[in-house]
Amino acid sequence: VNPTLTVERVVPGTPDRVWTAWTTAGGLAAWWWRHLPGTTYQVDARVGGRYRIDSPAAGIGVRGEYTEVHAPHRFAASWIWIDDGTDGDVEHIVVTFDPHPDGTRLTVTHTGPWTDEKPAELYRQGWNDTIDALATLG
Amino acid sequence: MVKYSDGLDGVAAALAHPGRRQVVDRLRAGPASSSELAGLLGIGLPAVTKHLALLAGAGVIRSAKTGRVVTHELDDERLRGYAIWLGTRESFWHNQLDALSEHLENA
Repeated sequence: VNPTLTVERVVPGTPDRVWTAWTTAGGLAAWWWRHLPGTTYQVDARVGGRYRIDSPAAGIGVRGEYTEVHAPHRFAASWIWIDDGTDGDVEHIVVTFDPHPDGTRLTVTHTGPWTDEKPAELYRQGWNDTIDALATLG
Repeated sequence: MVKYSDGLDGVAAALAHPGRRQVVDRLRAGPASSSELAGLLGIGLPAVTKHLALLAGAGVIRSAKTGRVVTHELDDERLRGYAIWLGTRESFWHNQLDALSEHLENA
């Protein structure tokens, strides 16, 4: 089963600026888990390049490889969630950046697999921790 | 090793169709009638009825008839794993995009 989830948001800033926030280590560090001390960011945004974001404090991370990079319009990458050092399934994301009167329309498409024999509880715990941590950002 | 004892293999089979997943995504927001779901999928009532029967057979949804209207809702217990998959990722991205928006507004 390959479920697909799409999340859209219009954010301030030109596509160029929003692209930089997603595809550079410095750009990501300004918002992605910025409240988790010690988070590390490695980004090589070109086809075949890899990214990896780790939060030792939360015991979570995410890594993957870029499969499509069209600055500043669209990138696609694999998405492997890391929970306490254990890799999850190889999932995929596509992020598009479209000009909008109020800035940039971002569309994140996240595709499975969802496999029903996986221990969903473990996964959920990792994400809940993340969400709880994000909620404390205030 | 796939475990069949929990019956989730039936859930996976029921969800192995884009239209049926679309139905499930819609029902996450609340119950819907057969005709509304037929409209959503752009297919006829007989076709949507077959898909809904398959989802109900797998225990993914529950259907109830009131007069001439059949209403469908998710059976949370059976769909838990799948709903968790979708829900956790949806929440994650909403939170990430909140953080990104906040950063871009303040920068």
